[in-house]
Amino acid sequence: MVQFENVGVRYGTGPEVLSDITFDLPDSSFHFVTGPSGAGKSSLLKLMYLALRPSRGLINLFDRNAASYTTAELPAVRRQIGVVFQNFRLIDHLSTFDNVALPLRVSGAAESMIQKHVSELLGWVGLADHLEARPPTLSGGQQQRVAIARAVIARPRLLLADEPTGNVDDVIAVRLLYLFEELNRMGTTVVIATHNEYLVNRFRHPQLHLEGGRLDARPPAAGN
Amino acid sequence: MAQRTDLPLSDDSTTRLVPWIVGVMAYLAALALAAALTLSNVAREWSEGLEGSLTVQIPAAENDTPQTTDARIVAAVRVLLKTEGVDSARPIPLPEIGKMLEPWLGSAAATADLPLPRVIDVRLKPDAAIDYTALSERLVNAVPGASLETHEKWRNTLLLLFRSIEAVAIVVILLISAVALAAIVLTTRSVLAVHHEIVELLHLIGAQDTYIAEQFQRHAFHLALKGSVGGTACALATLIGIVQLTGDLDASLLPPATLAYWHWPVLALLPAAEAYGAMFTARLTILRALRRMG
Repeated sequence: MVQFENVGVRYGTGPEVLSDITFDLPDSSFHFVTGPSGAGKSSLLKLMYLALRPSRGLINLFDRNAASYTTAELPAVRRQIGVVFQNFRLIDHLSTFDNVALPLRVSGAAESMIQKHVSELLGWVGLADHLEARPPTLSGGQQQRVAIARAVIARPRLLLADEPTGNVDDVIAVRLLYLFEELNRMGTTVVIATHNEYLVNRFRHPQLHLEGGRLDARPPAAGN
Repeated sequence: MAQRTDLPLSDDSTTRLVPWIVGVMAYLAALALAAALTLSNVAREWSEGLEGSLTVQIPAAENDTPQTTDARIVAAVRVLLKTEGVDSARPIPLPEIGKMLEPWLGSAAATADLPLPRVIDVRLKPDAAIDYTALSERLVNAVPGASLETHEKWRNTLLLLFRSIEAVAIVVILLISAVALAAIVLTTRSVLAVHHEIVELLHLIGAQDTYIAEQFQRHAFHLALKGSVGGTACALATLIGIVQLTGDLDASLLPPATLAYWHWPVLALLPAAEAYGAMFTARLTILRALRRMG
């Protein structure tokens, strides 16, 4: 699904923020990306959702060299990737419903199907009463759930989440992780960047641990 | 207008001026177009009225009596009718000549004892090829002093004048359109810059460039339509005003300088054309900019 080979990233002429990253995420796997702030977690995810090009090395995405996708092919590739952005990146003037519906709308889904799926999913993440609310009127935790709903609504093959539980308490965080696991069981490959030790220990998925821009693959957290 | 768009375009202060810019341009374009249409009308009527016609002038000779004058006219008409290609030759009666000269000589012209030249209005058969020099010679032989006016030269000069003004009007329309489109391009670019983040997000979600462009072009269409309807309405009001004012003018010498009936719907269609022009401009601008963003 995703392979990195000796990938390095630098911004401009600065030092490399990621160096010699090599890993292979099989289909339907579930990984945490862990590591201290500034270790390069966000950059790693950006490489995977094709918002950032590596300065060196090779990335394979969906069994193809990521650099070989043409501009015309990118929309179709990106529709198979769901992303929960660190700062959510919700569109403030659209309702919760319309924000979540966006991935379906850009791919031209039928409005009746959109109505059904979006309402259902928003009910599932506990936002059934906020369908018409604008993101700025929601709490941080609610906004985060909208962002997650938007990332998963189109049933992506690859789900990338950057600190998806940063603004919610552990109870909701666990609930969201169940949602990700549910998707994972249905075949979605999941990669979650997180600081949350509690989740990493509780859900015991293999980790891509970053330290100073270098990768240290770790097995699932030991049971407790 | 209540359509959902992913971009908060209607709140933009950058686009607030667009209807005004388009409105002023539409006003000027409609007036220039009306001028061009009117002139082509006038030119056509002149041209049609004068084509296939000649005038023969027979100056009043000294000591002329009505009888001798008539004899000379008859002689000239005879020459004309014998000429291949001439359809008819009609001596214009004196009162009619007097009436034609009235604007210059006053109402006395018809009655006063002025030595007015007599005029023969000659109609040619369609596609008649006439040797004017030979005809002129034969006329002078038959009636000394008779002169042949072919209208050709001053008709051509007038047509040239009309066509030049018409061309200028068209150039003005093109310039106005270019400026309006440039305004749309600049506005679209600045709107794109303002909403850069949302555009990037739409890209990451998998939106195609055309999906994003559609949002902008719809908005551009509405803004431009608003402006061009207003501008064209004002222009039509102006034109109707001019038509009203000049309606009572006795311009018997010139063909009526008015718009033909079919010109009005053409002018009324301008706003749609302008709105669609704005829409396609916005679309192309966005698509080009997005391609560069990658």
